[in-house]
Amino acid sequence: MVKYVIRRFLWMFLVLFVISIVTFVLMHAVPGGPFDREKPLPAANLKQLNEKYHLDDPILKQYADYVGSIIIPKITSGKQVKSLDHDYLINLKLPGDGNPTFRWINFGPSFKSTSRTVNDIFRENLPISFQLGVAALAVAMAVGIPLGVFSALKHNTTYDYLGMGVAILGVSVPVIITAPLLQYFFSVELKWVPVSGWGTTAQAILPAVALGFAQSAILARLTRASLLQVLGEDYIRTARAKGLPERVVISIHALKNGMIPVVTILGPLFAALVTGTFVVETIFGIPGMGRFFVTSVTGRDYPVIMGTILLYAMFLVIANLLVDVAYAWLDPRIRFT
Amino acid sequence: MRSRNFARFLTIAVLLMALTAVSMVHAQEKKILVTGINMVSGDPESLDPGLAQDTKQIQILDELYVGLTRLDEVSLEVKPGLAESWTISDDGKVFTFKIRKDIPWVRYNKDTDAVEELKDDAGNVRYVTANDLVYAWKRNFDPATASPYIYVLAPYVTGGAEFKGPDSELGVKAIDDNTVEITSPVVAGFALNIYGMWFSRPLPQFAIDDAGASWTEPENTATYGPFAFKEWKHEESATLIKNPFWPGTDAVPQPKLDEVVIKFLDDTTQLPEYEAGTMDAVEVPADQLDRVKADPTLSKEYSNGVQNCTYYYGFNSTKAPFTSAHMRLAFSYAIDRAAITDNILKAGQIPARWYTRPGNIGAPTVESAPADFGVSFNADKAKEELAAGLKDLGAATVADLPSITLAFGNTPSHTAIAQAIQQMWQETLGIKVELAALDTTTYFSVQREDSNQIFRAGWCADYPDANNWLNETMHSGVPQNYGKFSNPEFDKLVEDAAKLTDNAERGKLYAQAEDILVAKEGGIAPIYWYVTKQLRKPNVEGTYSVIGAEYYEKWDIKQ
Repeated sequence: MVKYVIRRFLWMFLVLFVISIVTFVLMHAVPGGPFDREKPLPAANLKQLNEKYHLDDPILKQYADYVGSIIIPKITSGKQVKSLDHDYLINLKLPGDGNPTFRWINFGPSFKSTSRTVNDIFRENLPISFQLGVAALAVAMAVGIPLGVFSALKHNTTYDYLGMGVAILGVSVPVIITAPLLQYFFSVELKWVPVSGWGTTAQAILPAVALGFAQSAILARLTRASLLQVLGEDYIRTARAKGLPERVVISIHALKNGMIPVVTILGPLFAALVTGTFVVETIFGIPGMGRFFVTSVTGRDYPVIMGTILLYAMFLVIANLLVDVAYAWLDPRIRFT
Repeated sequence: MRSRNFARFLTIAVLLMALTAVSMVHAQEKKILVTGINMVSGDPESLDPGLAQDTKQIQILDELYVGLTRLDEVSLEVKPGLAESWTISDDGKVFTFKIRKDIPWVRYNKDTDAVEELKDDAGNVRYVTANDLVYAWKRNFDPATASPYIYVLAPYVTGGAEFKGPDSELGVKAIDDNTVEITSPVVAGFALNIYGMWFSRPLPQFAIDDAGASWTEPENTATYGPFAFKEWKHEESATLIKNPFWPGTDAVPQPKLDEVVIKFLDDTTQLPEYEAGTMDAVEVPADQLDRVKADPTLSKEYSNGVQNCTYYYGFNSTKAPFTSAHMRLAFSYAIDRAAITDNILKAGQIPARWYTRPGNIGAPTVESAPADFGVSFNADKAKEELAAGLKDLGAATVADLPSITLAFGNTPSHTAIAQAIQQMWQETLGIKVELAALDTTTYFSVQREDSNQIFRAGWCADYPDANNWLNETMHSGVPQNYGKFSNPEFDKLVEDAAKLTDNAERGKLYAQAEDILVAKEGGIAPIYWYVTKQLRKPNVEGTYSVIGAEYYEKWDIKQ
């Protein structure tokens, strides 16, 4: 098991490496650059900017420099003044004179922002998206899984249809509609919670609900389908025949196995939610990471595109690894070697 | 024992209540304006005056830094800003500014919750001097800084266009701490305006050297305008706080507001915030206009003002069939502008008859221009021009023309307008134009390299003068002239007008230039002039800016 996890972990770096190449090639292949704007810059200015951000270097060198600045640590000394080219996630003070510092992992500057780096975005905006994502996931699970179980148990009754009706509504109505509706109802009319912003629990409620509700519907449908299948299995009949109370049959025997498809989707869902969601963050004015996935691409902000995609890929790989580990626990028949 | 404890508890409780009461009164006295005007979601890309380039950034910078001159945001008069006075040499090329002596560099101190004057190592207050301005100009012209907007200043300072680095000569000199002399290679009346723009303002070298790229953060920055920088919540908001050390001048008074919270929110979020009572001044999203206008309360708080921008379609004059001026004019005359402003935009936008939005210095105004000046919808004229155009191109019918594409950035509003105009062309000219909705950045790069036959474009003034429109965006060979419009007579008119100082005289030349651009040559087809769409709470008093940035030092909240 431990060996398996380590092996998977090493594979992750290969996956990230391949993704970085594909992304790098694709983003440079798309027409337009980071300094293309409605008011075009004079050729001389454009040249200056390309020089400043090393966009005039050969593409291979640009890639090598980019990867190098992430993986090769540096030891610097003297006074540390922030520069866009040198901003590291890890800064360890070393013993000795002249302020020697071990500095590692530099994702580069943001071409759009003149004072912030990709690391700044990771440091300041990622934690916010992470909190929102976890809250939304909690809402999705708290609503979706019980709803699915309930529908499965009341299979083909009015309750089932009602529950699945809600689920279908959740899947079909996009968050771009539910979010403003929630805002108008709970913030403008009832004034229970603030319209937008981030920082207080009250501000987190609406976005977490808006985001979680749509996902809960998917979880509900999956739980229902999977549980229905499991309930028809022989071992459930055995459990019932043993005279176990129905509560125990469902919660211990059926649900545990029935969770496998749900857990499978929870992995990617987790990765998607904690790295931020553009629409919800924009509507609720949340300073999260979601926006960068979209604005970096539309604005050709190359280092931010690379940074966000690598981050997402990393979360995805790790989440899938956790899912696989969870399989072994949920279903004793699954073994990893 | 018990009663003594109770007495102590009572005393503390009373004290606490009194304190709360005092702080509540205090909180009420503090005037804090929460605004979203000129904002959209997302962080301002830069709050470095040398690097800023869009409305959002300039809105904030205008409060933190004041130029040598300050443009009146309503009357467009050039007034003294940081400079108390100036003289211009007889040949019109040397400007000598006297900088005020009483303006210190300041920074907000979080620990004391106060704006403080900055001092040098010897403990003396650092005042804004001529040297700070010279430093700023040299820094912004330095290719290493890569200032995206300095090209606007370049033609009006000797050595600006050729500046290569710190050792190059530049026509800006500190005669003493409070006198700065600027030499321009050309005569230009509006240069006074440009010397006051955001990239021309003094910068704090000590702060920039100290904090590097993060010098624009409130804890590192140094500013001197009517407001100081209290807080920058990235991606969320910027809070400005009254700078008590700003002396207050005629053009830039001391603020009446204690703080201005500027929220980086899309108008779709600003409106519910406003309705919930948590914002005082907001922009209205286009799709909510009907509801706002129908609402008994909101409709009274709604206002339409001037936004200094023009929406237009350009024709690439190097690509058939738009090599023919008649062809360009046919397409321009066939656009029913009023139908677009009335049915699609609906916010009081004005059908444009020429390029430079009325209100700019030197631009024709709707009142003063003859009724037939410029271009407007005229189906008969469109057909006449089409016939002449076909003759030009040696084509018998429209079927002989090459296929025509209209390109635009893919946004809902551009698409709706393009579809409407496509239909107008089909009906009036019998020509089916293909629509190409491109990803916005792709579209900008196509525009820069070689624009499509017809393309959507817009211009918002950098400074409100016809020179910024006609000379800087439509003269032969300038980068903003995407359609490669070129007419020697037009070029000469706008060049001559730039050299005059009498605005009435300049206006006459610009009117002739406009006539050539839109009515004789059809270089572009102007479509509409922009308006602002704002909501302000009834207790908010303030000016309505026509230059794109609000001057909050002139705003107040009535209690």
